[in-house]
Amino acid sequence: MSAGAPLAQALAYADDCLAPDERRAFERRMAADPALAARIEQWRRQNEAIRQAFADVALAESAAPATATVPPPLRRDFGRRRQSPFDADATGRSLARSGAPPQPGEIARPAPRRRLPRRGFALFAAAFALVWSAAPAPRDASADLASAAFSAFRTFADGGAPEFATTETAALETWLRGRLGGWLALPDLGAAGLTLVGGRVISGAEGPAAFALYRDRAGARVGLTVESSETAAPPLIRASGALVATALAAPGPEQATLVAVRGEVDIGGLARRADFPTPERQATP
Amino acid sequence: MLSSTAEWREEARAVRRFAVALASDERFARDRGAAALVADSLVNRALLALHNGEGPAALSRRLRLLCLLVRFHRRHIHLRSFDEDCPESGFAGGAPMERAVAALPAEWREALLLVAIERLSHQEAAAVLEISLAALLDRLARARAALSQASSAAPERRNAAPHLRLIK
Repeated sequence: MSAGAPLAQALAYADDCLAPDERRAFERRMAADPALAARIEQWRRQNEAIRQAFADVALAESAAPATATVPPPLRRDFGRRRQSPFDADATGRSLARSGAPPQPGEIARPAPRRRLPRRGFALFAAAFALVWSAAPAPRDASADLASAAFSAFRTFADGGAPEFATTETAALETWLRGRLGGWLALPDLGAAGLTLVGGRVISGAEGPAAFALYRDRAGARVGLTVESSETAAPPLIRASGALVATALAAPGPEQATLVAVRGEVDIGGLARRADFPTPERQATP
Repeated sequence: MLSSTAEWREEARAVRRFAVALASDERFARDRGAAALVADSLVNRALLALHNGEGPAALSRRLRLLCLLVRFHRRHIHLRSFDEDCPESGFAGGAPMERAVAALPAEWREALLLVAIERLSHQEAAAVLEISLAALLDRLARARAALSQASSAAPERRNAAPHLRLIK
């Protein structure tokens, strides 16, 4: 860089940040300094190359809001949906209702589907293969859930009073449902010797989530995050720094994760003793 | 209440290119696909935080969103740095410039992408990154020097002697 052209002004010129009169003055200076002009041209080419390199980012694939006000199908998990206990009956009945009652000696079967023309099927198969080959590898959503739980614990377990302080699980559930929606249910950790301190709404792995803070009899802190997710997390014990986390088996759409400081609490034992409400209790307002 | 889905999608779409470029870090993403997954998660979190009123109040909505995106990305790479499977072994595929950007330190990449992709002024970029103007210029100059070095090193590698020897 030449001594007459400060770096800041040169960078500002390359990034179109100069006022028109400053720009004209700088261009006169560039005309007298070919090395400076070459450097500026190189920076401008860099800007253009960066824009070109990321120009093909698929804009249509942008993220959708994962909130309680948005219907669950928007929270995609690469087209897979975990079957809920409520779906099993419905599927069976719909098969039974699909046609006329079977005659004696006849096997009940669903109504025959319309056959696609062979060419259409080939096109569909080709399109499916193309999409399948272009799709990224499925992500490990359970790791995201654990990561969000670790972040929440690090952020909120130490910091002062919770957003909603209570020792009553039902009161916290009511407060959280007003903010997150009716899907929310909290497990009863009282049987495991934990006392509720309070809770708050946090940003989870896929959308808004609930965070509840507990203390055991020795005063050790235990965090619980509950998030609506269609991906079931395996009950693995994950570690991050001094923290450990494990998922709780929930009967509904919630994914609950317990977090505590390693060595302070037997988090695996807690997870086994946690009593998650049944879907019938969750449905009760 | 939350903004409508259409507004949400529109805001996500506006910053997605920046988010994907930002997440293209050779230490934590193997390729564009992995970076896009991280970027979508970051955009969702940033939009939710923006809705909850987070971010510097003095900034416009767009700049606040970018600021939150950068904050969440910094937190993401901080947490990922604890993972045992890091660092990744380089950024696969893509244009030479994409790989060069992925090899930059995160602080330099943030500064450069805000200016090059989002076309922010230097003052705006400094406000988004919550740093001084002098610090921003320093990062920009270092990033540009690193990119120049990477682009000049690439032809040298192409012209390097082949591994096979000609035997007469």
